Amino acid sequence: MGAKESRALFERYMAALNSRDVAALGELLHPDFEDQYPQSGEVTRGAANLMALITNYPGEYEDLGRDRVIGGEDRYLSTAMFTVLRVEGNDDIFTGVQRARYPDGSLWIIILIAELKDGLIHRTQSFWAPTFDPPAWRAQWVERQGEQGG
Amino acid sequence: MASDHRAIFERVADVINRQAWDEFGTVFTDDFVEEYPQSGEVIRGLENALAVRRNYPGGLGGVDTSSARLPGNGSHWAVTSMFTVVRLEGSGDTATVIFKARYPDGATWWLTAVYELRGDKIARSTMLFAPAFDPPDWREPYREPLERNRDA
Repeated sequence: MGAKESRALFERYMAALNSRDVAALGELLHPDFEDQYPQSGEVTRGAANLMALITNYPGEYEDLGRDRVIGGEDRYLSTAMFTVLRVEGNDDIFTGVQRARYPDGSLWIIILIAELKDGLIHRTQSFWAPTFDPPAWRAQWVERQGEQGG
Repeated sequence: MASDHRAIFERVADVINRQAWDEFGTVFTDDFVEEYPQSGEVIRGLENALAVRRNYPGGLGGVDTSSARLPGNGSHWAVTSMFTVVRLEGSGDTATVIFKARYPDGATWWLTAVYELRGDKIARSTMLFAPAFDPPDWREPYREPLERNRDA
């Protein structure tokens, strides 16, 4: 798989996740798929468990519109609830940065690292980073850029 | 030309560990830009980035790379310290590094830096801070424990 095809695969994976497209996920996941959440010490093994997890997600989604995706050729992706901010990577490992709004109104940045194998998504790690107020102590050296949450 | 991301990152960690702020310009460009998307902050320029580090409340912790190991193809490596590097992935002029950090209040956070090189210096970095959390009950039927990354 070339770099362009690998990037397209990764972007399809993110889009399928973000739109809860279980059928698409089934075509993208490696038989030995594993999804790690280091912050909570959880791992989801196998496509069936990921698809069940997504199907049973207890909440609603919200569309945040479009943003530029840095690092790609066709750099625009949009889904309900999630907004892809950035995609970086090479032939077999990619990093995606997304913004998410949850049903309670909170904004988070999600980091998704994915390893590709045999033309499929093999292993992933996800991290959730909450928005926070800028600390006062560093204000004199810092500019404000846009809103909290990218 | 492919960058040696590990070698570059070790130089960065060395400068930070020694708090050798007068050497900051050897690993970051003069127009270095550091973004904190979670708070909407951006720090422009080497001097401002230095000022933030010099004035960090309580001081900055170190990054220990001395016990690095190289599993698999060498693109992944891990060390043990207060700031533990759990992953480094790089290709071309861009890399992602993930640390696990233990703060003085005992809290565990995962720090992600996505950075871009110009030559062998870091020109732009996006920092993200993710706290440990309790696994939600609703995911219990679909998950297993991830032992190796939990509060290690």
